[in-house]
Order: sequence, then structure tokens, then C-alpha cells
Amino acid sequence: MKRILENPFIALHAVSKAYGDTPVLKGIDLAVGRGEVVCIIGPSGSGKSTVLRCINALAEIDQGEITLDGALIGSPQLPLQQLRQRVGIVFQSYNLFPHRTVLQNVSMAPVQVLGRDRHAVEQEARALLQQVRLEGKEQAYPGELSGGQQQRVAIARGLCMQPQVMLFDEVTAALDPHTVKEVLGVIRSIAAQGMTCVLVTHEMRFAREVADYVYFIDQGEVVEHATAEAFFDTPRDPRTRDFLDTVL
Amino acid sequence: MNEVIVALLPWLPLMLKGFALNLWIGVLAMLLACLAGVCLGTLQRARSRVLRLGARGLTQLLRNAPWLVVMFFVMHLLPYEWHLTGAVISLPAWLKAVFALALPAAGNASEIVRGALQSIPRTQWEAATALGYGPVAQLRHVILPQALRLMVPPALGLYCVVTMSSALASLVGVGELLSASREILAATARTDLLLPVYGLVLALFFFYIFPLSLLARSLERRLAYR
Repeated sequence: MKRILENPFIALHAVSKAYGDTPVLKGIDLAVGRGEVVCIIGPSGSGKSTVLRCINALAEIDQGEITLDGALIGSPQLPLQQLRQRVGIVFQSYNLFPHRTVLQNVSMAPVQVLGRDRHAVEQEARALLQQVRLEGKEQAYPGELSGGQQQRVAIARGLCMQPQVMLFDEVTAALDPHTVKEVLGVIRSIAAQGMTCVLVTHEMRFAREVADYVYFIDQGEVVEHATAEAFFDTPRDPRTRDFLDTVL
Repeated sequence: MNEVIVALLPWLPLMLKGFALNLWIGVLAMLLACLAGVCLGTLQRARSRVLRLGARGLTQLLRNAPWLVVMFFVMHLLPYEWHLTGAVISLPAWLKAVFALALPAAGNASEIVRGALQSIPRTQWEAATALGYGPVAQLRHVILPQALRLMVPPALGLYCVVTMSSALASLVGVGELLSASREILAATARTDLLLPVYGLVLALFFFYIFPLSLLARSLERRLAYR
């Protein structure tokens, strides 16, 4: 029942993880193709966010393996710092650095971590801020921005590392309804540019529109996975149907 | 009233000299306390259990010791002079007072550092990790710049307490402001000078400390994010 891709860009094989005695992931298989947009949906506490955190090694896995472009994460072929440069993540609570301006938030890691030229990076950072429609806010501090604006800065910060994959962890869950749209718009344009994206989201309509493929996770297990169309139009598992009934 | 001022005037230089010693003791003690406090406070957040518990225990011991008791303890514990391979290092009473004040202050400084580090949300470490920062770089670029802002106001407050407590040194024979005042009162043998002299002592401390605590309060407001 697991999804077979010839050359998956991200692949999880039988990944298990527990926090103490509580199992969070119970043998997750998941595959993401290059340039694909994959949505992970499911009820709260089902382990969706943990999947993302395992992909960029913010959380350690107990069993199984995760590969990025064929290389096992944490192996000599893919040390953690390289992994984190190639995989960007955006958090639900933005987690911007409050002591740095918007421009610094976006440009500091490429300079301080990757050792790139500050001038060139700032140029790119300005372009990215323009892309997320925040031109003119370069010198503002995160505390002066609205939630939606902060989240767009966080997206630009992730993109400035020039990653190959972007992970979005319920990035609109903390936003009020009318700012959700502006953030989703930015994600839509990133996906349209061919960036590989994995999204954990509660925005079902958005998932349906933007996703190529959907995974439904409940209680640490993959219950159902299918192309977005098939998943939303003809869900097979009763648990999926129940869930979709309650959220749609 | 005029008569009192005329009687006090000749003693004023002596009192100011005493107060200068208070300030000097306070500054030195605070510097020592900061150094020790940064080490202890960071160790309280160490990954190693032994270091963490050791630092925590020492911090609590220092922080909860009565300042005056520590003062007496250090005065009688430390020798007057130190014989170090021929050289004799003398330890004047005022220097011992510096150590005595630095000890409990270090316990408080340690808590200030620990509290500031702790109040930086875990998500800040996480965001830095996700951007590829290593542990030391996280501390340097993300955590410490934020924590330092949080430490400044309470550290200034601690400095005020240390400076005020320097008057405790009078009880162990250091010739600071309070000791000088007592000597003046003894020398003049005038009971009507009692209140004016102690009033002047109070005023000197107050007008030095009060602006500082105002500054600490405004810094606290200004340096807070959001």
C-alpha cells in the first residue's frame, strides 16, 4: 500500500518515533517527488508536524530511515548542516529573531552559516521580500509586523538559504482569516515556481487546489494517500471520510 | 540650622571620601559578581547533569546566605596577608569586603543569567537549528543578543543593592561612609548632630541609587520586545 516512486526526492521508510512512552509515529512510509507539492493532513495530535520535524532532523527518529535525494540523512553523504541548508522549514509561530530587522532575519543565515557574501545575499533578500510583497519593510523589526507579514518574512528567510525543499508546518494556523489568504498566495506562487513543498495544513480547500498528492495521517499511521483529486473526491477509508466530513 | 551646617562643613571631605570607598567597593564587587554569575548561570543550563546541579546548588547557597553573615564570615576566614613564594600580598579589610559582597551578589547574578537564558523560547533555538546554525553559533548570534537585553535591567538593580550593602562593611572596620560618620559623631560629641549626619549619609546613598533604579526601570520598559 505504500507509494512507490522511481526517484523519490524525499522518502520515509517505516519511520517510528516515540516521546517517552507515547508513540507518535508508528511506521510511516511517505514519498515526495521532485517538484511535487505534497500535503499532509489529519486531526490534531496525529503526528503530522512530527513528520516534518523528522525530515529536517529537528526531531530524531527511533526506527526506520529518511532519505533526501537518495542520501540517508545524518549519514556522511548528508551531514545535518547540509540537510538543513537544502531543506527549509516555516513554523506555525513564525519564530523570527526579534532582535534583528526583517532584512537581517532573511539574510543572516546565508552569511553566517554558509559564509556567502553579505552584499550579494542582501540583494537576494530584498528580491525575496519583494516576492512576498513586503518591500519597504526591510528595516522594520518583527514585533512591528502583523502575523501574516511575519509569516511571509519567515518564508523569505527559508527561501534565502536557496533550499531544494520547503516544509510548511501549519503556517496559517495562528493567523486570522483575512491574513491567511496573503500567506497562502505566497505559498501558491512558490509551488508554481517548481519548488518541492511539503505542507502540513488544515486548509482543505487550499490543499485540494495546490497539492499534487495527499497523505492522511491519524494516530501516527498513514491511513490513506492518493492524488489530491482522488483523495478529496473518492476517499476510501471510513476514517478519512469521517475526517473530511467534519472539516469540509 | 546654620550652626549645624557650620559644624558639619569641616567633616564633609571625610564623609565624601568614605562614600567614594563605598562606591569603589560596590563597583569591584559587582564586577566580580558578574564574572562569577555568567559562569554559574550558564552552567545552570549545561547539558551535563553534574555541572548543572553543582552550579544550581552553589547558586542557591550564595543567594540565600544573609549578606551580613557572609561579611563576618569572609572577614574572619581570609587572612590579613597572603604569603606567596616570598611575596606578601596584603588583604586590606576593604578588599575583603569586596569579596564578601561579591559572593551573595554572584548568586543573584547567576539567577539573572539563568533566567534570561531560560526566557528565550525554545523555538528560537529551533529556528536557528533549522537554518543550519551550530550550538555555539546559536548562542552567539541568536540567544545571547536577546538574553543580554533581558539581563541589563535586573543587573543594574543588583548593582544598586550591592552599593547599598557596602555600608555593611562599617561593621567590620572598613573606613567607609558609615564608619566615618560614627567617628565624626564620636569626635564632636554632640547629640544634636546625630540626625543631620545620618541624614546626610542617607541622602548621599539615595541620590546616587535613586536615578539608577529609575534608569533600570526605564531600560526594562525600553528593552522589552513588543
